[in-house]
Amino acid sequence: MKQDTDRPSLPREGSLTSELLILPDGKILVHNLTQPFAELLKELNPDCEQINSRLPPPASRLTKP
Amino acid sequence: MIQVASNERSADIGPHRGEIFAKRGLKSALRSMLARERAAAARAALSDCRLCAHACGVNRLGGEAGLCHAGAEARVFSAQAEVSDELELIPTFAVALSGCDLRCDFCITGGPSWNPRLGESLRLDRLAEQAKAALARGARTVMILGGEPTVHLPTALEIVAALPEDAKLVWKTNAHGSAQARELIDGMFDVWLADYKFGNDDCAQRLAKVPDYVRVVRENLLWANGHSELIVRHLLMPGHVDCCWRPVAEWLAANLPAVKVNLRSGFWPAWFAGRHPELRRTTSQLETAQARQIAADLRLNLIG
Repeated sequence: MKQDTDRPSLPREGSLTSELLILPDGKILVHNLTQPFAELLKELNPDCEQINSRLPPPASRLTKP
Repeated sequence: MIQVASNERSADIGPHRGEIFAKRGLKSALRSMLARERAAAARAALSDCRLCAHACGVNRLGGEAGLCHAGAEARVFSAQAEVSDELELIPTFAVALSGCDLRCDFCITGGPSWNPRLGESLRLDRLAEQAKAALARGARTVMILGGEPTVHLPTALEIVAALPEDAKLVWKTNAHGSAQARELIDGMFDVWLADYKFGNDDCAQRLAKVPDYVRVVRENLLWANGHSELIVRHLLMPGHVDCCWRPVAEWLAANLPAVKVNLRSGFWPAWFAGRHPELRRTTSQLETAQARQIAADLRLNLIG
């Protein structure tokens, strides 16, 4: 497969990138999890300990890329 | 269920937040200076490149390329603060360099890992400023990874030289580096975060096209354990509990019984995983339970 070497794959400065894989059984796998995305996932499932453990107290959260 | 998972960057979650920075290879004040010196030595070594265990011996400064296909200049395909990694390391500002010496068919970053020309040219000043900003906002570590950062050791060391002296640095590696690379990197990083992917050479050859894998990775892990903090990762692959995880776990229990081990169950059938029938799915709950039982029976120091 030929790769496009002209197109930068690094996100624009100031942007962040996470990737999701949603399985048929409802399980969600996350790659390159950023804090803003973790906060979004927490809203989807507030009781998910795997996500909650990755979020620091609200006052100290990283919010800028 | 939401699971933080990926082939090489994910972590299952655990309660541990250990003191990982107790062992510092060098006093911080010396690090930048030594990193600059070693970056120059590492760049010179590209003329007869033997930074990884493939030991191709090509002249990357003269335009030749070995098995990793990497040239003399590194490119970066991701640089951002993330919370996917081990709890004691996050948030981390993760800098991913394109190119790798392995060819894992299931690589979740297969494009830029297999093609070192992807990504952007590395602007050291801008990258250092991004890292400093992330640290100021609460990032606990800066992680250099790939691909495989060993193939771009000169650039990795230049990044180290540009970072604050007191930044906690993590070397995320496939543990397939050479003795020469280890010598150049000694004392530069606070933590080695090292993959031990395959439990036998047959699986390593079939899935990642790498010969003599087990000997090399064990040599690197034993060295790293004596020179920095070491965390070993194993990505649990579907259908590979007994052939890969079990021998990895048994070796760790016998040789590095206290080392922190992150058993990762979030296999993501990415890239060319479909070439291998057993890798066309995620790991089952039964496989994950079996793997954790093996770890428990061997009393491994599992972390998340």
